[in-house]
Amino acid sequence: MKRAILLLPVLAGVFVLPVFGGTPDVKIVSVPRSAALAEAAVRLDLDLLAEIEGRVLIAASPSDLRKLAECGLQIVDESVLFAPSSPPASSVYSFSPIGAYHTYRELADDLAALQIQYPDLARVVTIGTSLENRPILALKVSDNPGLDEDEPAVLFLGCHHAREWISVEVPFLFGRRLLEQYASDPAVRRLVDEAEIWIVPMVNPDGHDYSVRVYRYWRKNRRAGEGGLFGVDLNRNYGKAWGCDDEGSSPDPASDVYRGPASFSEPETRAVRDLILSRRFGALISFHSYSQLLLYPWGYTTLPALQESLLKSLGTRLTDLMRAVNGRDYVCAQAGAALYLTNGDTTDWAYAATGMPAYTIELPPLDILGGGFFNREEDIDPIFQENLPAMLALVDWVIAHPDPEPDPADPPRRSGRKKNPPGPGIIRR
Amino acid sequence: MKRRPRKLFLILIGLIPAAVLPLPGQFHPGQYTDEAPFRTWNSFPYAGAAAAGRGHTVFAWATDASSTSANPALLLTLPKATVALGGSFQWATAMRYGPVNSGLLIASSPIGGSSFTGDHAVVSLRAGRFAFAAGVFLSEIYDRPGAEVYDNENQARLYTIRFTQTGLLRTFHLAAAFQLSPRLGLGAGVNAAAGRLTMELMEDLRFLGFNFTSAKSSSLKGLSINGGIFWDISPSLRAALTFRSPFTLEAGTETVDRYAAPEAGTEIIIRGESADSFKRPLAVGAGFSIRHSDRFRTALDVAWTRWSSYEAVWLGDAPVRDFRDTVRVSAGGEFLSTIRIFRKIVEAPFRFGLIYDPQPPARPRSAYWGIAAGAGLAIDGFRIDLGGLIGTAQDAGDRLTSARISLSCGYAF
Repeated sequence: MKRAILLLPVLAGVFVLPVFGGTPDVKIVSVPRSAALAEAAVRLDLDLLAEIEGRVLIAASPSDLRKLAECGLQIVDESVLFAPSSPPASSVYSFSPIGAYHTYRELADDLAALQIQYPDLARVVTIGTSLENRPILALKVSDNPGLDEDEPAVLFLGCHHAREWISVEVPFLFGRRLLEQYASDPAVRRLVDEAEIWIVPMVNPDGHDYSVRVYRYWRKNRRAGEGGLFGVDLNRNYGKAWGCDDEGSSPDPASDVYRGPASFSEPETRAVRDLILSRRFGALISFHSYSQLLLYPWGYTTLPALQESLLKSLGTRLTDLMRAVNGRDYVCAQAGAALYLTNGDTTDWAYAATGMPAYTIELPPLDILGGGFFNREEDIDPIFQENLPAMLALVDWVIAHPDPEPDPADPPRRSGRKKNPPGPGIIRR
Repeated sequence: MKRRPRKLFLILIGLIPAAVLPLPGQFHPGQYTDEAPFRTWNSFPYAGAAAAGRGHTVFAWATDASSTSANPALLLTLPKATVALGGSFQWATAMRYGPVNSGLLIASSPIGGSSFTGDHAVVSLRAGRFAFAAGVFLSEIYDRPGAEVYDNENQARLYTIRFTQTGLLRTFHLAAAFQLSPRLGLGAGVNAAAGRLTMELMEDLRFLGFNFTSAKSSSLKGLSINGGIFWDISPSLRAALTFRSPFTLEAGTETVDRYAAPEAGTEIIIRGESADSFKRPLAVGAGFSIRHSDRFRTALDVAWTRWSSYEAVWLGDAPVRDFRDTVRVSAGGEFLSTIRIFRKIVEAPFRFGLIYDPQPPARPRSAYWGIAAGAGLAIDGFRIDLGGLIGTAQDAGDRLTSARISLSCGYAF
């Protein structure tokens, strides 16, 4: 019996060791600077790293994260920005949950890898956080990416709509191409030297994640509403003509084009808005799919914008460049006249707020039976290649026309012509 | 927006027959995550029917060799050689999982499902101061109630959406125990877990001429150890400690997204794969059993699981799992009567129990309260036991319920 009792401490060790044996994984997170944070930092003995633009970076263990959350502090996981010094193996075309397409995590890793590989040309910037607390990441490509230079800026957006996976790839590949070609291509170097090129490949990371994990055809973000209804259509949530009718968007939370309770009610659209208003953006492309269209404002009415001729001529030039690559036709047209009415969309607001040419590109295929929101993996690169000259040309145009004139016109909400609502068989994009 | 009738989104989900989609045990809002075991966030595999009937008290009281999954030391308290087999019928309701009540399909009330499962098959052998066991246990099930919505017009199917999720985790278990003294024993086991988790969502938009399928399949494997001691403090009082080590459940996941528009001749297949993992935490238990008389015995189990250290990597990403540590408490008892069958005296235990089973998700906090009952017969080394447990989720808001009826049989040589 004595021997048995002597064994007890050893046995106790067996139970205790696993409790203390592991080192918890530490994450780099950011928290807004506040009095609550200051109090928590002292009380919790937090490991504060730095402060950037009003947010404090913290090395936090899982335990710290729980305690910070209990303090009601808004935590953003910034670990992706502190990736290992060697770039991760490219997730594209290799070991990936969705083949050649990017998941959010892969996109974050690949953007971080680009920043590491091209530190003098690329910066990954968190422009906001999604409802589910995912950083909305932008890639800034410029010759001095760490500086806010007085250069014209161009913005390329992807994935407002979760299921439009190809719209992530085209802007991402554009950023990568600029960085890869900078040293060898004088034309690319000139564009990067003379402009700030901002790329936000995934405006809607939460919705995209849901489309990967659960439902491939999910469109909206992940706003939880009443009655088990989820999602706001981010491309109906911007502030120009928001909710001006129930045809270009819907007040019904069950609808795929639900516009939300107010304009800019969603953090994702606020992030894009704040980015646009913070700089001298001279043009914008928001990528969507499908239909092979290049659309310009207005979308909320069939009446033309004051700068219709500019929008159309520049747009036509871009579609000509796109057609020249693979022979694939993209139709350039006013959004409200060519497709269907859309109110609260990105390009209407951006054009109204800044006067910059703002385009929606509906990427291939042409129709639902050609794949709709599905694109073959082997089509990603050809689609990117045919959009590349237009994207480069738009940056070049902005350098030549750095200061857009705001459009003073505010046309009436509706034109005289009644636009037919989409009938059966039409899927909104 | 798909201009299919809006009612499709509001139709209550039809159920695929339970036989197709086996579904055990309790379910509550915290278990909506893809990898959540359907019955509960188990720390220890399913116990036999005798333990189930007394509220899953198993740390300090072994009726058959299935107790080795919780405390291998108790093998020393069994007859020299035993065999135990067990299975169960399980039923539960679920409210939110996969596409159900997460944005795509709406169910206005919890959805139920049921299943028959095999729970364990174990042999044990005791020789001198040693005892050994080998067996296979059902550790977890990942099934969900099937969900299907369709729309017909003029007896023609225009639209169908269907979601299925199935899966299970088996544990292959080897254990050895050593009698340190007449009143003290210890044991340890090695557990090799292997299983599969599959989910598929199919949507057929026949009225538009296309359909698509998203399928995900993960093969699971992991290795853990468990162990325990018991100490007979007095002839009527036994105390026990148990643990199961933390371990990583590795998951190799393959995905296939397929689009087809047959009449247009379009087919697009996107294949993917990811190396996922689920870090399961340490679990520690303490138990007591008290023999009040030759016919009446009670037990108390307390199990602490360090769920706050749980981590998941699923489809290449690390989703947020805001888990808290849990303390599960169960108590139960057994009254042993004897009856005469065919001129033979047969032992007939009657059992009862209570269980408080908090679930790890911190929000919403929820816990299961359950009551258990059971009975058995034992004659000439052969025994058969029946145990039942019914529980209701508290604080979760959906009044989810579950029930499990277990049947075990065994023979002691």
